[in-house]
Amino acid sequence: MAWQMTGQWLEACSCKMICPCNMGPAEPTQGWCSAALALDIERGNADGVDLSGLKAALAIELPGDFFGGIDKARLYIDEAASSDQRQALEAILTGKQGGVWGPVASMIKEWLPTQTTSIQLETGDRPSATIGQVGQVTMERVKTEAGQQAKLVNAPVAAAFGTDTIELARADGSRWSDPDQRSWESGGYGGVIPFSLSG
Amino acid sequence: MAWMIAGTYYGPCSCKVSCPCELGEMEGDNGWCSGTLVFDIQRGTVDGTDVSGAKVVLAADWPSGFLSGNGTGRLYIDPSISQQQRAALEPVLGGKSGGVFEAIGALVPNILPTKEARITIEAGQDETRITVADAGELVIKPLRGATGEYTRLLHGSATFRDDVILARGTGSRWHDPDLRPWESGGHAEQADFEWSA
Repeated sequence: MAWQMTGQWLEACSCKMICPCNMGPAEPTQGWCSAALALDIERGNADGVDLSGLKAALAIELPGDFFGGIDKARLYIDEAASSDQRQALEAILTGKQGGVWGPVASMIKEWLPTQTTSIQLETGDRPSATIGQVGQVTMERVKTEAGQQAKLVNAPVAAAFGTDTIELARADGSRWSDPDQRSWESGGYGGVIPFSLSG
Repeated sequence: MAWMIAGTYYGPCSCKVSCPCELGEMEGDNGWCSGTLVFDIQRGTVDGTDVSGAKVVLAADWPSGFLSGNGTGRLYIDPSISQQQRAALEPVLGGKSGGVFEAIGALVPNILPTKEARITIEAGQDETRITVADAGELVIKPLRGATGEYTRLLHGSATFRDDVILARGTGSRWHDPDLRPWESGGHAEQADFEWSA
């Protein structure tokens, strides 16, 4: 199966800005790290199944940094997706169809069952996401006084996720509370990440 | 007074990489923040005095984060600098002559007497080592992405430059008896600069 997807994802975690885990081996701000990615797939397809306009989220729970692996993960897929779209997206994002999600999935010890839920997602000047009853992400882009967007480029760990630029956005106030994962609030770190991935 | 200095600065601090204060956090990773800025001035003039080749260090402690201000700091000046160069540079670096140092000076209102200290800078592509007499040893190892390009922070809201190379500062230590002793939590940065006012 061949697939490709282009869009942006919002990323928020329990660390302060900038999450040290992005920089290689590191101790997360809390000692542990919990994070959420909310994906806005602007254009995409998987073997003829159109994925354009779909939204999904991935919540992960780490005992330390990325080098210590990921204990738990859950995928949330937009209830607006058709059955075919849902199946295709789940296979890709859980790493079964190659590309960058394969190595990401190989770090995950336990996948919790995928949930279908409502996902609202904005990536513009005031990025935000609401994932059913479990996740609320609100961001304020970090900019200079002249209005230029702060960016982290070529971070050592970003390549593992197939990206090279993080548009930094403070995620204070974001929170996640899925009964099957550790509940967390943002320590401040957040970003908007343009992606163009395939497998 | 008109001045212009150009060169490279190196900045390890007590926070993890990347220092949260540069992106608006009011508190450093330890609850407090200590850091150094080493200025390797390759070219410069201050009111007609040539300051090319001068090496100068500013070290400072803050009770919370640097954006919260109320810092205490000290300038260290290499003994190769002449009295005339020192008289020219001290007001600039102390924030009394405008430009970027005015903002830094406002965050470090308590300035201890300047110390003369031999400053050595062994600069390299993958590692720069700096000693400041018996006050500090600094290590700056630039981070790189998967393609080998330097990791950069662009347009940081509270950075000293618009384009900063992020580095690992692990191993950096400061131990001036009049300042807080600290070791780097991992953060360092370096950037070329050309500042004037």
